[in-house]
Amino acid sequence: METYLYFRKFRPATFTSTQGSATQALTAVTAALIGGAVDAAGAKVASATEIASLSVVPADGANSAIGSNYTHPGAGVALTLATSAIRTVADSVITFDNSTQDSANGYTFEENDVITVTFQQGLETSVMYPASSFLGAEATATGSTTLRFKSLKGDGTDDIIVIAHDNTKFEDLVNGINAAISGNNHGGIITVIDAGDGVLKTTKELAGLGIDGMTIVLESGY
Amino acid sequence: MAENYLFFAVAGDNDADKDAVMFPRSKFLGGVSLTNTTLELNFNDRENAGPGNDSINATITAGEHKNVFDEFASLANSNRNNTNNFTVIKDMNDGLPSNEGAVSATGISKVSAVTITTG
Repeated sequence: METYLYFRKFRPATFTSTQGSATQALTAVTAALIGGAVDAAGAKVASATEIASLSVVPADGANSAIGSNYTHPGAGVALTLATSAIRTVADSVITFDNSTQDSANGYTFEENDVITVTFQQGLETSVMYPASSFLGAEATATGSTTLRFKSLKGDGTDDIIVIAHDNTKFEDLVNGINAAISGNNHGGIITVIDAGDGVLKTTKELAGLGIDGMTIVLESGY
Repeated sequence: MAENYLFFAVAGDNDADKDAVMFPRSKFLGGVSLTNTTLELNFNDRENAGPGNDSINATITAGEHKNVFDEFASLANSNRNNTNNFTVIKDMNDGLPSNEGAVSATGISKVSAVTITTG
């Protein structure tokens, strides 16, 4: 009977950006919230598929530079924005269309507008591997362990999951991986690390190891 | 333990290329989320000719990736000795024969569509 291992990236349930100036770029989602540097492959927010919804709470009572599909709600009242007007998502920075770029669904932000982003599962935010695809673990840096799996896409190199944890915990961590693989899971899957929705869940063997980050890098992007 | 054979089929007559496919469970490599309503299951390339592996793109109930993976794991582990070990992961066809064991099954209920891609 095969054991299956489930991993889900660090993502907050929601993230709030208060515009310091009139810019369409939200502030970057912090490294602490995504479990890695804001520009780190496998950790960064890089796809609009991860964005479930956005809303803006205007600082002012009026803003004429908003899309025709919106009615200004007044200062301090939330307005739901269309995710179709997300212009780019790169290095954990979400940029939204202004009302010129998208006259229907764009919204030109003003200073002190507050934008709330709600996250969801998206491109490569979670993976599952059969234990038979596990190729090994190595201590690759202080407080960092790399797990390697056979490639999902089959283009030549391994898939890599790097787990950030407290220093000196490598042996405990690989012992926990061994326990997950070797334990009796009664035919289901083992949630090794699930850090979605701002809540970290691990196997009991991995609890207490100070896991505070994870990158999932597939050998071939989609 | 005997090998388990995992079956996928799109809706229709299943008489054209990529309408239906069956993989040995031992060729399963893993799955990955693509969007909030889609995920991909990957298998070793049957032809061993590349490029890339074979895959099943599944449309699922929003946000149910973990549960779909869990149900897949249960089905994939359902093989038993002295049975045919034919397991329907998802068959989109209607009008399946009743009381025909695995052949009657439509598979994971949270999957609403599948697309088969072979290397």
